[in-house]
Amino acid sequence: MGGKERGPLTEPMFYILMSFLKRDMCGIEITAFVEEKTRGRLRLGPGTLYTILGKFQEEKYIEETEVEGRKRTYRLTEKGSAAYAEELQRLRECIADAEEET
Amino acid sequence: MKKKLKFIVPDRIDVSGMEQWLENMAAEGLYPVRFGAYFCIFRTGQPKKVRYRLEPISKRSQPKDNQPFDPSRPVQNSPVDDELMELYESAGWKYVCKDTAYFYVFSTDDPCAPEPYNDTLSRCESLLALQKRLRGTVVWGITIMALILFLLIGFIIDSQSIFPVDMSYRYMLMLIKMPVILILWLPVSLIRDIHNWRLIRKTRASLNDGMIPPPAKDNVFTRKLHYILTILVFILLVINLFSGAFTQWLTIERVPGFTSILAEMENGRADSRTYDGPGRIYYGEDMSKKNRISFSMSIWAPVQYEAEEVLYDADQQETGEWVTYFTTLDTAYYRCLFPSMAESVALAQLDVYKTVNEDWKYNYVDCPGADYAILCYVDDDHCRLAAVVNGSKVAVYQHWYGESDLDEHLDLLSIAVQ
Repeated sequence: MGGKERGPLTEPMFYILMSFLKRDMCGIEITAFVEEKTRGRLRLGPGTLYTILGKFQEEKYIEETEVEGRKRTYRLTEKGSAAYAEELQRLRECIADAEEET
Repeated sequence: MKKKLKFIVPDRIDVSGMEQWLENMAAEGLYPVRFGAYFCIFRTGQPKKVRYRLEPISKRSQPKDNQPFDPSRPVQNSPVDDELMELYESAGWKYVCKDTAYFYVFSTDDPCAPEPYNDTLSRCESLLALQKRLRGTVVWGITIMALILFLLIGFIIDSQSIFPVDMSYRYMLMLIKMPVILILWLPVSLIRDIHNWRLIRKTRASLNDGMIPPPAKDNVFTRKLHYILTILVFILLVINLFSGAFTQWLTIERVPGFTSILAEMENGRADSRTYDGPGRIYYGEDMSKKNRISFSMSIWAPVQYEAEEVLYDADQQETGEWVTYFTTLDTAYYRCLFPSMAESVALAQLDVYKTVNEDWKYNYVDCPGADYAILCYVDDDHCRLAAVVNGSKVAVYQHWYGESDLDEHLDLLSIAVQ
């Protein structure tokens, strides 16, 4: 994180990108989505979520679509979709490697 | 509700140290209300276990003042960006206050509230903007220091060959006039900025390696010393700038009849006055409030003062009105630290006195009682400006509209630098 060449996504990053696959979302909806998806295993902290949203916006993985009251809604861009797909592929390969060994 | 003032023990930039210190305070029943540069105001209450977390202030996390009015927005004039506030509040955290220009402080006494940061990498990323900001401050500080050093060394070695003649000397004069305390203060604040930048860099490096940095070692002595120095410098600056009292500690060399020489020479119409004591504003024996001397000091010209003369017209004495007598003589006097600086300072002050729409000619001449004089002529060949240099002493005169020219009275003008 922070380098020019993006390495593997962290777990919170991966789930945040995943949350945008079906619809546009705001911060609180993302937190709820991730908690539900991971069955409470991952509760996104406000600092982490805010920082990652800012970083993704800067890297054009997501873009703001609407500001309503205190809510800011974002959607996934093509670049963000590609990053998510790339990470998914990497994780699949990791799982496949692990399963081969067990 | 009682309030208590406490000296902030950890470094302001030490995130873990600050969080731990605030938690320790809460355990003693002290809850922060407002942060100053060195002190924090706490309200007292029942001791509680409270978690405090610092969120770096960045462009993104500052409130967006230009947002259109939206009645559904529950908090107007939020001190923090709405989105950040919303996320923290929904996670069970409360905004406390700002910790100077670096952090927002959030707190919670709910043990179930999630930590604001899930991993060290996102924490590291959140501090990036702050690190860049601090680096920018250091770069600026070093640039300014280098520029000042370059100019000062230039002055000391040989200013005439280092700085071309057509360069504006006013900048050099500004440097000469910089108060000594400011020059001393620059490196002190630069050292603090470098320390802050290195600490945040170390914190980020540690977070990047997956480790939460422990609180930095307590350096209460250094911080208290810094605080005392800051207060001292601030007080001296205020005294120096607004009352001139600080400069009265110096022994100012005084030349009797210094500013009234020309008036006496002119036609005897004006009263002659002398200044007989140090002080930023001295009104003369009749308290006319017209004539004044401004004293100041700097490290490279430890003694300097400017005398602005507005004389009383004797014809008006009976009416009791004070009228400006126009053939005035204004003077700037410097005693430089090094003789090699004298010529540059003289030229710089002449440059300040010059009117821009005239064609000026300089002439270096021998001067009785001094090393030399620089005479400045306008188109009509009247010598309206003159600088007299003797060793490290410089006196620069401007005299407008008088019947006499300055070059006719060099022997008198040189008294100030003897």
